[in-house]
Amino acid sequence: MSNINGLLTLKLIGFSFLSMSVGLLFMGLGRKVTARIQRRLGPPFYQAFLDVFKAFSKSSITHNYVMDLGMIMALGGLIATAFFIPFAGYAVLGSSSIVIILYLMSIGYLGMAMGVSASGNPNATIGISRALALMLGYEIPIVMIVLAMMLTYGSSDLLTFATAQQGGFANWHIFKYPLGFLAIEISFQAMLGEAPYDHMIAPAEIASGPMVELSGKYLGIGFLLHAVQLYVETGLIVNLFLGGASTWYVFLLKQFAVYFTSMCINAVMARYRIEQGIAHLWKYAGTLALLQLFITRLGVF
Amino acid sequence: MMDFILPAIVIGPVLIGLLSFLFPRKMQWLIFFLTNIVLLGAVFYIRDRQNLFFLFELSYFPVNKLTMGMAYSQLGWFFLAISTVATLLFSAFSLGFNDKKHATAIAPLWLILVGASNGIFMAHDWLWFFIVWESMSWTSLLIIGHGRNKSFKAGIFYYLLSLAGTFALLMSIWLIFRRTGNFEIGSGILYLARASEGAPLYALVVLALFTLAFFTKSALFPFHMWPSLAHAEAPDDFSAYLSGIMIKYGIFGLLLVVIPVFAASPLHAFKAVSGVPLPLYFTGWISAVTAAWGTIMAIFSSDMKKLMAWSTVANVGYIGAALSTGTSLGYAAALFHTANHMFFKGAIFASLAAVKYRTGEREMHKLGGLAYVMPITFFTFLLGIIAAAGIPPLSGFASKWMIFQALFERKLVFQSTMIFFASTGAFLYLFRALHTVFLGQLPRRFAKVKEVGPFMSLSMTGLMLLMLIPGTAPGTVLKPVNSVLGSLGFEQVKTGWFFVQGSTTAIDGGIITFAFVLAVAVVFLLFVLGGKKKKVEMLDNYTSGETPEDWNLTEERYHYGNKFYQPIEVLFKWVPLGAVEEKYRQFGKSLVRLGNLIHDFFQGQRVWGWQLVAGIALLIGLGVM
Repeated sequence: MSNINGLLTLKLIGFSFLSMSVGLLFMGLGRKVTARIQRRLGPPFYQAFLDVFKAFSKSSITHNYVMDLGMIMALGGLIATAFFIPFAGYAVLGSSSIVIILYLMSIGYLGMAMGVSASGNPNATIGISRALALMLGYEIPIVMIVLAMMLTYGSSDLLTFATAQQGGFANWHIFKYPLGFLAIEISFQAMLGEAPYDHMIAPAEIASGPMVELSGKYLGIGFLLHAVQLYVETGLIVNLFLGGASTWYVFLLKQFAVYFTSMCINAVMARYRIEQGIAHLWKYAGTLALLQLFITRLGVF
Repeated sequence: MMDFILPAIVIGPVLIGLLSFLFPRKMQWLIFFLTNIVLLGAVFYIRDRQNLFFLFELSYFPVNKLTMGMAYSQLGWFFLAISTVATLLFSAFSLGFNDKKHATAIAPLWLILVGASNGIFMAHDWLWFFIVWESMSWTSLLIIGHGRNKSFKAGIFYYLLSLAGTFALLMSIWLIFRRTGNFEIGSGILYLARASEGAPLYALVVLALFTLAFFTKSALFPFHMWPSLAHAEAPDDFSAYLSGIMIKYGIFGLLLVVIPVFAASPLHAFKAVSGVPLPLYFTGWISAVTAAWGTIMAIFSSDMKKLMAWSTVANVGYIGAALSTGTSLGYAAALFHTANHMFFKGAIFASLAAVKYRTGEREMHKLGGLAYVMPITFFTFLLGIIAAAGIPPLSGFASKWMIFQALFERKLVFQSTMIFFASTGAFLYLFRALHTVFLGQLPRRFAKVKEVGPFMSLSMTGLMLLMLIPGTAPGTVLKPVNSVLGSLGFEQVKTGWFFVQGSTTAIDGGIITFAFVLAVAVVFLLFVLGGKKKKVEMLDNYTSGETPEDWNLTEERYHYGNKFYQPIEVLFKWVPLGAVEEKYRQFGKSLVRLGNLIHDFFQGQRVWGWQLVAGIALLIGLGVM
């Protein structure tokens, strides 16, 4: 509490715009990647910025105060989570507890869910119910991997995990926890809602789910939500497995590498049914993560 | 120091409760509320007065000099304080709730129950503990029953389970008394700790009996089903008390006896798994299973009160897992979560009672959209579920974080995974309740529903504050917790008002709240700077080009609420969720069969002939005839 001052406030405001811009940049690049895989030219890489500016400048409709509150809470919660992700070895708040990150992310999801289900469109709510059901599938593997690392280092601070991998390629956790890395890659796909786990959006089935009633600045916030989510989740994986980074451009490159992999999978996969998706996550990601946890636990005894 | 303030806190409410039977109903609720205000004052007046006691001498007992009564303890005071604060808020709620249409006659009984509850927390010896424990069971049975048939059945089920627990308690008290010759709680604990080395079997049996007694009361596996019956059928305003405070008696018992025994017993007395004594290791797993089980059942419930009752079971599971680590951090986490759960579950049940007060509906999917007409109730529920899901910056996060720190300290990673699963599941069912009751379409028949009255609103606002403050400043609860730890000889948790040090990392509630508020402010600014917004009708929705008139669109039909998590239900088909209940039912049936057998022998036509033959045969056999 004592270190709250004007400088920190400025830094945090900077970080909130950093997280949004990085995410938007990735979204544009991701569309380009998908287009190239499908042999299209694709939009320019800054397209996502244009989309957001346009959305914010248009007039929009709302149904009630809960919708406004929910959307603001959603983006606010996710940006607050982004503050706890160490960026290139720098934790702006001086703390990067993984438990805080995992739980603070939920307030973003809760806000989003609340905002769109207050719009009253059942398609939106069906999308949310699918997203939450899927959450039960991917959270458990991620938690198990985090627990495995916690066993090794006796700390649950993300920055500790990142700094422990310093000193070269061979120290990266990909090689120390290979099963865990596979598990988190599968879970990450579900976390982002990309194919084969894109039940939440499913445009042809439920009319883009949560996004169905969003217009104008609400849609803009929806875009920004996805952008910050990208920043947070790729940042999480880079810090957990890819050795973090000491310079900002290496960190961004690593983040993009993670997203790039995800986009490539997304471009060529079909969608599971929801219960198949959860079962698949438990069966593969869950088993791999459990094995990893067992191996680490036995090593620690 | 012998003082009359303790009996005033314990016996006072009982007497006032008995007296208030004489008054009309409306007056009874006022008396109930006023008594709770006085109690709050009295409880904070006795804070830190370590030497306070009040003992009766039982000179007419044939055994050596026996005393019985109440005494101050830090642990007891902690429970007394949080339960009194919560009860005061609940009583304010009840004062508004029990109007002409909804009034129940439970106020005097509730007051007696409050007295018994205070008596449990201030118990000096087992004799007194047992007396107030029994009075608590009896009064709560009468309240849950409150004269309705279905409720009474739920009450009987609850009572039968607690009866089993009470027998176990009596047995263990007797076992201690037989060896030590007195009923004092403190000396009993020391004796048990010493016995764990010399006579491990004896110590284990006594501890197991205690654990059984407290598990039945706190609804830990395999007694996890009674809250879903009792909490759901109890009067709506009483459910908050039942779920917030009464479920904690078992936790209190475990913290009072079982954990101190393990802490005081010699290190090598029990085998240990990663530093946890084996019996506690098992209770930890039972608690973790309870947490997961309660969560799955909550996901499947469509009755909002049942859903929250299952959620209570899950939360008791978290607490049990924390205290089963046997560490000071686990002890502190259990106390902290106990306090937080009391307030957030109280808030949730209070807001659900408010919903039922206005709509008369309990099935979630028949409701919807109430947030637009009942904003205070909605915010109470919203903060309640944020706290219950353990999301920062509310109180539930701080205590859940501590529970994890306690588990991490002992490297209990698999139990932690189980608790994480329960916690994620909690998010699922809590959001479902939020959506189906408060969001989505508002049915036309509820369009004219109004916010509840001032007493209920004030009570809910108070509960909201009690969820917000410990989330930002965990020290408000953890400092009293530290004095409990100190009085029991445990190591204290390193904490300031905002800062808490765990086993693997530290958190600062102030920083988290600051980060969240700042981020929300930035987004709010963006939101305000964005284009104009226009408010439209709820039914004015995107419908993929269909005309809603073609399929007779109504708000009810357009509300997605039933079978919310159908995919998960499909996934969990293989889990025998009702298995334990089925076993109990079979046991009950066998008992009835046995009873019928005996019954048939004495009744029915021509039976007397057989009885005559059997009697003569008996007499011949005995050589009389």
